[in-house]
Amino acid sequence: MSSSQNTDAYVSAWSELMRQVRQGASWSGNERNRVFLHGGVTQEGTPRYADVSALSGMDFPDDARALGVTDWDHDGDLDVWIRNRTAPRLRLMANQHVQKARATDSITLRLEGTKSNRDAIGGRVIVALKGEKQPLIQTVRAGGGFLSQSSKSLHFGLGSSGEVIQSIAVRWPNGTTESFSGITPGSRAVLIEGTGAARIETKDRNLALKPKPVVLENAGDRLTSVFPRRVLAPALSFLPEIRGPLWVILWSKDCPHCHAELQAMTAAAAGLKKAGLKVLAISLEDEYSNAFFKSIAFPFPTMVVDETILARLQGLQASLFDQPPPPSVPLSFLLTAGPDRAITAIFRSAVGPEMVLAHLPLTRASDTQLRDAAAPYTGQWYTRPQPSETLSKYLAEKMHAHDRLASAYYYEHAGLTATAARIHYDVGMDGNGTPKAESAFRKAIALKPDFAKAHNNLGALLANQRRFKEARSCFEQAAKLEPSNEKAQLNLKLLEQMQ
Amino acid sequence: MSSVVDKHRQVKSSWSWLVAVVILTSAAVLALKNCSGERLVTEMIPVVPRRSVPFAVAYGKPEGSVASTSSFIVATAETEAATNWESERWSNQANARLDQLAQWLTRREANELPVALGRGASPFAEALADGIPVSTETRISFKIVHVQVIADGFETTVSAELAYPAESPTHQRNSQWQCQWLSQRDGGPMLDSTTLISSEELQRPESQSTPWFVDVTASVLADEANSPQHTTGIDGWSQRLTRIDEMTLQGHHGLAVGDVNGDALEDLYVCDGGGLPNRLYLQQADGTLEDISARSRTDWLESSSAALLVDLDNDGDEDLVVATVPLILFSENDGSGRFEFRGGHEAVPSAYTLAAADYDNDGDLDLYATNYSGRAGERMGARGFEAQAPLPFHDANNGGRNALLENQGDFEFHDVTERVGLDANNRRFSFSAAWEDYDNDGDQDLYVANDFGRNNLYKNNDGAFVDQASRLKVEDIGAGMSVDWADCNRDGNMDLYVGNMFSAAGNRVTFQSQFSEQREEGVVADVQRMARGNSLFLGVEDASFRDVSLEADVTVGQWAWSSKFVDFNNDGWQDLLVANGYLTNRRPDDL
Repeated sequence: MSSSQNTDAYVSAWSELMRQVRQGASWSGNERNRVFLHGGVTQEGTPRYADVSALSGMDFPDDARALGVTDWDHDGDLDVWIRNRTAPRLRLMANQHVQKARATDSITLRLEGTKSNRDAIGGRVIVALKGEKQPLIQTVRAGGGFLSQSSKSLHFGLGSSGEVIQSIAVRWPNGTTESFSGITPGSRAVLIEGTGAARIETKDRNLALKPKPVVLENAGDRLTSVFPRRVLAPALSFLPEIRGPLWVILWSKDCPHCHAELQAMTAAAAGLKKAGLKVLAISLEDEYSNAFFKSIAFPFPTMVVDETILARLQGLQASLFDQPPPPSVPLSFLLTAGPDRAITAIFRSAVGPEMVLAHLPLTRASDTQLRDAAAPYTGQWYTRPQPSETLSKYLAEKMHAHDRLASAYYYEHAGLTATAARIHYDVGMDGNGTPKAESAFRKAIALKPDFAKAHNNLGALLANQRRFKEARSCFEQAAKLEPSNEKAQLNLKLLEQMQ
Repeated sequence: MSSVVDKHRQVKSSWSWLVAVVILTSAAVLALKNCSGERLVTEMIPVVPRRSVPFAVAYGKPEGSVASTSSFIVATAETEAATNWESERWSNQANARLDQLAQWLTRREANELPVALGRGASPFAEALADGIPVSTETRISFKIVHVQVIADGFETTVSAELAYPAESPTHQRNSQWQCQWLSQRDGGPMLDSTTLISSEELQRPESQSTPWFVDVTASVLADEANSPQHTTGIDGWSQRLTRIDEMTLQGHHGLAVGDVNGDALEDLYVCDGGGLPNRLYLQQADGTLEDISARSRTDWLESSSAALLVDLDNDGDEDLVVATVPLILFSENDGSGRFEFRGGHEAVPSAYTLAAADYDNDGDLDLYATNYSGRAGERMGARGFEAQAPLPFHDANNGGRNALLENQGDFEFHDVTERVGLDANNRRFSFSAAWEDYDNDGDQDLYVANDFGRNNLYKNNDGAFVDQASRLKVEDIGAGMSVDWADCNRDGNMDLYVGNMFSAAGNRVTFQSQFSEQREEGVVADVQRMARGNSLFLGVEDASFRDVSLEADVTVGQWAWSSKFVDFNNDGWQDLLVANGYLTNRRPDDL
């Protein structure tokens, strides 16, 4: 096997892994945080650790990422903030080393630089203990671990067997060394560069934080997704001409939620009309649906599509969402008033008319308003909304695997007409002389009038249908645009012979 | 206070929190004997609770099932599916057998073990549970970390973890076993015999009523803790929020601890994905948090991975640095916890870990930012290894460019990466970096953890850096995720703990002949090494290092992210915390 084949297989293996994840597979999931307890050192100076994960209280299977270590409650032991990928995404784990009073087997020191940087990052503290050969050393750091910043205060555990502080020295980032005294076990102190005196800040807070994990029950309305930009939807190009903003629902006969949704819309017909919102129901099955519509006297237009439409819409969702939701019905879209219909919101459950109407103003919102509406909470942006060309180019690339015509549509919208023409040309080539192929070549030529190959191949398609006059002009165009194009010349000769 | 742990000898040490017995029995063969079958139990072993809350689907069509593949192997460009290898087939079947054994141990529905498990099952079960009350309240998990095909069958190395009671365990027994299996034509392999390799047993002292750490989140965050922002997993958010605003499924969003209003209480800044605001929580006197994100003007909605609270202008308050997709942004604190946006730097798009230090000892803080695969100016682009496949897997240097930003004052930063020598070996898919003066020469050196192969240790010589990782043997070929420094053996030299990926599948597969036959020797060793897990390097005299990862028994951090030294029992010795797990998803299968 060649090395480039190897590389291709390798690169596609990465895509395959993520494809499976996007379909719902785990990848080293359900793994629990690990905790190793220091068990002293051997005579060679090698530390030994024991795995105490299960006993630690920390072994959640949360896809944890970041750890922020700090004595949060000032009780003299180190607590930990954990940032997770899965819910709950934030935890404060309170250390139970000290449960009531403040610990007397630790000290907490915060350095303050005056000549060195104010945070004294890079400063090192050396704590010598009576009866211990080696001092404890620690350095002030900001950032590290993975995506984490822990407290810049240094926490020194002193041990429980009556170890007493002999001396505390600071080597400041600029290289000078300074001794500090008056710090007793159990205290918190600030050491200011150049003062030589510790400022003691010990204070009993007596917080006794109660065990109280986060509650995970809240489905809310997260099945609704407002788009931060209008998203053009060539997948919906089959829609009949209906003026005004439009709510389109896809439904299936086996889905009771769909029935309820259609009934609710029927009941609210007057209100929807008054608000100016049009409704269209799309059935995935032909039989049954008419009977159902009749039985509830459904007052809105309806149509039937096959599942390819659902698949194309799923392609659009897969392009827009990094973890695409599984395909499901009812699936409904709130669309802007034409002519180029764009999606402003997507509903993946039965939502009822009030919810849809509440979103109706979005069909007329500005880009900035849309982006703010899409964010579930308030906040500020320092960037401008993505330009629509950027979005179209992104969708063009993403959609190519799902739906080539949609991809070409987005390229055209992004102003990349040559690429769009090329895709239509490819569709034409794959079309085997069908009317679809003819229109694809014509679209390619419309987008890129100097596309010699498209002219030539359209000519060939027409000649095969004995439409010689049209074919001739195509070949002539191709030959004119690209005099070196031997195929066009040859085709002209063949055409003469055939006639 | 500290206990010296002697190999081959049983040592009891009374640590301040745990009574631990470490037994390191080498090759103690267990006698075959019948299982007593005394303890009858009636329920299933507890299953791992699902933490993610995927959106409910009102009505879904069933998904097609997709065969699981071994990710480690796919990632190493295997063209044949390793799942079809004999060794992996056996491993899967042995796994099923061990699951049966675990179920039997915890349920004890029948007095006798199913005969199909093999004659070695009963003594194995007996030994595993020796002296502990195994019941439905026991959590048992097995991991097969090595497979060797032999005549008539195969051998596996199995890690077993028993913990009980399942909720808030007070006892934990970790053991490693060599298991011999007889292969059967039909009906799966039978366990023939087992040999104990090592075992350690730990228990919480009876005087202690709670685990070491308890979750108090909701008592400090009140309503905010239960806000859907935190109670919805990134898998859920990336089904609702679009790629348009950069919401992605990896969940690489961190946090920073610092005091933003100078009241000597630590506050918390939390980063989040695109479309979700970052949050600044101010600690109150009673330990609870007030959400001041909006008031403080730090509620950025751009996708953010990491943040630092550091004093960039030496005016006595903590300013804010946030790694977002387009910029590393700077925000100036007015001292009260109100921030003003001061622009940003484009050198590292989509940065991961940030680390601040005064590299040139000029009195102000400079910033180092790791760039996994980010590209300047790119919006809505692919992220992580999807943006750029690492080549070659075990030694990739085609990723993003990390940068050192030098503080010019007034929130101006210059990219000095190249000038100071940090552009050497600088395209290595870096997840993390941390500063430390490992050679005690008065300036800050830098270790960088890279995902696909070698890491960097840049020695600082008065502001000029040279990569010494190779010379000092701390390249640590592996999937580097994080780095932390501390003196964990108290010899006065700083030691290095590197978070990597421990892969049971990787350990099984890369030692098979099918794997090595197709590769050069050096590559095989490197790829094997990549599955080893976390690494501990002791700083020793003359500013060099000694790899003690296996002796210290700290490799199995699994899919480790932040891996950090923390002395959590105040005994003066640095313990370790490892954040773990990659992508937990809704389907039961795991790649």
